[in-house]
Amino acid sequence: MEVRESTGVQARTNNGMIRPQSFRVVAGPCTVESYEQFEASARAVKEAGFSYVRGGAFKPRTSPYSFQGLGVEGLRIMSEVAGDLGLKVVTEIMDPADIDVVMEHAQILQIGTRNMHNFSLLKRVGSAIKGSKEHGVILKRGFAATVEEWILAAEYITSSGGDNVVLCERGIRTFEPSTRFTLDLSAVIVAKRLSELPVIVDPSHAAGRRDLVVPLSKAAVAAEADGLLVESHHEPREALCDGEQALPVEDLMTLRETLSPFASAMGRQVI
Amino acid sequence: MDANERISSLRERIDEVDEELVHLLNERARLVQELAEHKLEAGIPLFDPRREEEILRRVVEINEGPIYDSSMRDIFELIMHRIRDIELQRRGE
Repeated sequence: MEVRESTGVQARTNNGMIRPQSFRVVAGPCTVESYEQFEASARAVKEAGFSYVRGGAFKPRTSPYSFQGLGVEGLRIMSEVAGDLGLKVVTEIMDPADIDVVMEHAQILQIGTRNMHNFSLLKRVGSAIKGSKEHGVILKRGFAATVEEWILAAEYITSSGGDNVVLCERGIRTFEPSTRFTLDLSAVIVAKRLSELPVIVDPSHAAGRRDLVVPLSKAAVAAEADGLLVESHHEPREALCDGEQALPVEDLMTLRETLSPFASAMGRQVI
Repeated sequence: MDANERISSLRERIDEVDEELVHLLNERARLVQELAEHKLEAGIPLFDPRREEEILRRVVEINEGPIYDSSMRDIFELIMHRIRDIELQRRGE
């Protein structure tokens, strides 16, 4: 990994999760609902040929009465299942008090869109992963944040010592109601030119509907993204959270071959 | 000199200052372009928040008013942003 002294935002073209000339797909359910549910979804991720599984243990829900996730029990389920399958875990962290337990069970700490401006969390996560070769951070763009604000939020992590930071574009609020958010692909390109941090795309949360996930994923490849964060579920209709945007197993299985020609045209390999 | 003449004279001076500002801003943009070439060669990111903060602090330090320090920061943030946009576009072409 190359570290540049001239700036806190460092070029990380080979930072563990993101590899040069590759297009990394992270897939998995929105939330961990039970051992059986996560095991089935993670197995599908493995069989689809991907090596990072995502899942939510602590869920930031708009309503405090919605399912909030299984918490530490969810983390245990994820690390046990992922360990058995040889997968790495990506999960969201919301509270600085959970950093140690999340790092114990997950390799990539995701900071969600609502916490992009939570600077104390960013700094604490940056300090916590400092020097770790195992851990990294995915920083989602706030749905009303500019690209510059997004990169400056990443700077809070890097200036606290955390390297291995990946930006994630997940859609912004616009007037358009056809999709839940509007995937801002120009932001992917601009962020990469400005900061040289890797940028991945979350088409699931941007679109909020499954039928757009694969086309938007193809567009993400063309927009020079370094990877995808997609929701998948073995039974989307029964998912407790965001089932309407989760890719069913059959679509996840064909995702690699669907994206491969596009990735190949961009000089990348889907992994 | 009556009021109209004074106004006219001040407006002429404002035009002169604007002309100077336009030249200076373009000179600044050219320097940034040169810097960007070197950054590109060295693989250094275009956006350097620490350096930008250094510039903004310096601008405030030398500000004698009547423009407020906070407004001067805003003005320079916009200048830096717009010039950076030119560089971003050049990188993509």
